[in-house]
Amino acid sequence: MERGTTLALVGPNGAGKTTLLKCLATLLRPSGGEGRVCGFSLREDADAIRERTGLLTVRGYVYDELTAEENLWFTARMARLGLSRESLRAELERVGLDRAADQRVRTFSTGMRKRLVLAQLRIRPLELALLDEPYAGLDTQGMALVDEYVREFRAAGTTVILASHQAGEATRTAERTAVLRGGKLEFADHDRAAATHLSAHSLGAQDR
Amino acid sequence: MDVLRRAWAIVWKDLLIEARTKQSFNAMVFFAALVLFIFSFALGPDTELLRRVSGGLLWVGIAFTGILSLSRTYQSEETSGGIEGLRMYPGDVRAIFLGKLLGNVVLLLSVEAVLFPAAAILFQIEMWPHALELAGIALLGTVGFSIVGTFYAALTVNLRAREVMLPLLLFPALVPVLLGAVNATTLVVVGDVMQDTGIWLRLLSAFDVIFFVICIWIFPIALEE
Repeated sequence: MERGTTLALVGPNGAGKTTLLKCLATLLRPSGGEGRVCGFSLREDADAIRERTGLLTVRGYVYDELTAEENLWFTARMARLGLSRESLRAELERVGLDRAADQRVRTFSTGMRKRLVLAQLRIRPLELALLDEPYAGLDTQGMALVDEYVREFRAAGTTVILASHQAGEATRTAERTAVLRGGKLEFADHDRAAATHLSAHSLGAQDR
Repeated sequence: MDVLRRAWAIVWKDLLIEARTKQSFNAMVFFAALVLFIFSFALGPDTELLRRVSGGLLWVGIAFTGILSLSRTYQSEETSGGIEGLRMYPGDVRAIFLGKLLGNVVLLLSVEAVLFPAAAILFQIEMWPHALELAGIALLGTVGFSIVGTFYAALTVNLRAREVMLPLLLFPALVPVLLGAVNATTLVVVGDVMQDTGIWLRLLSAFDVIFFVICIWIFPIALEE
């Protein structure tokens, strides 16, 4: 993938999308083959890749018993970012969580939780953002926010891989589309319309 | 320094969650108190016998409650998507071990701060004159217990039968710690006429240093999926 591009990775449940994203984030070791992320070897340079890569999972890496601001502070500290409280508050405001900054995450709705996870990704200077089912559980407003963030990532030169079993949403902001099925790449093209059509037909009815 | 800063963030996060939920602390104190009460009832009012076995009874309580704490070491990460959430960050993963280890030590010491005075009352032992020595033994024993426990908890975190596997793997490795801690505590309580406490303290110190070096060295391998 070229830097700054967005790829929609679509496929039915169990196709291997999450596994692929976790391999790219160096959380899973590939059972075979070789790959390079941001110019670094997946097998040899895990730390260099983690420095440049962020992963958004369905549930998100947030702690229920911490407040939104505490979660963001923890992310900043673990990612070795010296961000002030004001910067964290500003980021929460950007995702619409400023009024819930001191609220524990266990009281959050799915949408609020996703917004917090997006904020966690945004405070890090990323070269590659891996978004696993970013639209899951979101309302129209939340989906628009994800789209906006994907565009912002792209504008900042961040490469985005957006995995989803919902082909329509995933291909909306992507320039390229790949269809994954049974762990194999079934289709990859620059033509978004063709990819959307193919992916929609290749997915099982229950997955759409 | 970077490892220490990140480890401190993990300690802060874990202790804050524990302070809010008191999930582990309450269960540990209750369980430890139960162990002491049962032994107290079983052994009766024989003060001399209680003094002689008090070291062993105390460490039975600490070991069992410690297992409760250790098995939850990485479970607190489950609500946040698992330990991979911590592995995702750049930097040395040994910060995770250090952070979890410090959290376990603080939690276990706080339970012991309740357990020792409770044992003193139940078993009618004069502990205050030996408070410093007992605190030193508790610290060395708890650190050793937590080092090995934090490491094995990481090894078993992804196992289905981890509640069974953790004590099975852990207790054989803990024999030197328990041996040293029980003997040192008993000697301090009953009176160390032969001045043998130092030997057991040196054993505990050596165990702590050796196992800390080994565990922190191989921790990144233990954490690999």
